[in-house]
Amino acid sequence: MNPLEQLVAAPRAALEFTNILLTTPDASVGRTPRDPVWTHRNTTLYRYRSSRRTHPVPILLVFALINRPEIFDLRRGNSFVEFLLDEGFDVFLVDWGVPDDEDSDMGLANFVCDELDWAVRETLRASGEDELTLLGWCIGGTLCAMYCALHGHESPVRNAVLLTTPIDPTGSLYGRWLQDVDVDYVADAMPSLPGQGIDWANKMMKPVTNYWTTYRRLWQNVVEGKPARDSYQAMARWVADNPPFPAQAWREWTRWMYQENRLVRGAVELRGQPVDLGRIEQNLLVVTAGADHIAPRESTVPLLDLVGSRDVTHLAREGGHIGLMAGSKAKREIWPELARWLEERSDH
Amino acid sequence: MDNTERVAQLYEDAEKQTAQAMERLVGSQGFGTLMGQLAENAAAMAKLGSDVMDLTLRNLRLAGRRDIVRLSRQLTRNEDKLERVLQELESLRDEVSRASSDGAAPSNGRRQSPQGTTSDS
Repeated sequence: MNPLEQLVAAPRAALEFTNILLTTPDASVGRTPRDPVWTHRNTTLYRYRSSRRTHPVPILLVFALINRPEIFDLRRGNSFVEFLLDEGFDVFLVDWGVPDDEDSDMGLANFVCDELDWAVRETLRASGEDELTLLGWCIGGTLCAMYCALHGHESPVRNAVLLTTPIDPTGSLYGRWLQDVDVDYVADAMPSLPGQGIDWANKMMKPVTNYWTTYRRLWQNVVEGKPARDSYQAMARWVADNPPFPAQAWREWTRWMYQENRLVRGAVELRGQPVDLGRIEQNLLVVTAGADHIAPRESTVPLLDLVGSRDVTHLAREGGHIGLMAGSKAKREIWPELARWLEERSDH
Repeated sequence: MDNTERVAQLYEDAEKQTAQAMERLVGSQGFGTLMGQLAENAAAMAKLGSDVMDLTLRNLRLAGRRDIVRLSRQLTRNEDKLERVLQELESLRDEVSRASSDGAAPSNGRRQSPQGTTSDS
């Protein structure tokens, strides 16, 4: 398109560009039909409807505390949940909900020892199975690793899948940022850390890309008449939907993981029980992304040497922290690999 | 490559270099310290605002955020207790079911609908 054509197209493009931005908060995400199985406080366990369950071992999806779990089910035609259902899996999702001031006392122990433990229990009850697959992403992966480490071989988890999961964040960008923060002061002053603040911090990791390039590319696509409205809006809506981080959980997460690096040293204790990663004996699949700036590959791979699992697979792929699993290539590249790994380990 | 493409390429290169420079900047220790101080200042401001609002409402004999949080905490404590009682109940029901079925496959205590959704029995 030459400059003159671009100039002529500009008013129409400006209208469409504005329309895309203004209607993004109403974009449709997380539309796969599901039913609530169990609720406690803010947590809800969902089971996705399916008439073609062929693999008996159910999958429990666990996402981070700082974004909504709809990333697993972003939009029709590009949904990991939809993909798993098509592959014959029985899919459950634990949604941490949106915490508020009254949840400021919820620490990591509440999430791992209560909410996740009970969600596992309810998943087994609802599916009628004795074992399940835990699939955690980002902080959700760390919570799953902690759960498996706490329960060891007594846990009903047969397979653990950890996607872009921080385990040893020494030297990561977040590690540098959080090193000198007075964690107690911030956590005592605020009952929960506002989601927008965490979103801002995440975006500041790649400021030009997040605050300029994304919009410039959208504009360019609109001018060229190929705006990919659905994919842009679904992702932009999900990115902007940030629940608050309960103060106690943030305090423990920041201090234990980023300031004192306790998890890999075996120095985390939940309700008096040591979290020993060596007790993870499940079939383990670890997925890392080459361009992940939130949980860089180097922050995840130490786990491979610490676990007691005999069946360990590491998929080192290109892509970003979220893009790897939710980007346009995920459906063709990483999802089938995950499904193959799960299929081999999800039958009686 | 015509002039328009050349200009577009130059612009993209400049943008990429700016992005890399900014990422180096935010990755520095100095920026990290700045972020830390910013977080502490934001927390202090939020606490100050919240305290002032709460004090104002309390002096007007109205329930403030703090009162609502206290009530919510009491509710969640009750919910925690109920959840634990429910789990005990379900375990007992499973045991009874196992005993009565005399070695048959244990019931998980829930009905399975044809669509695979569950409901408490």
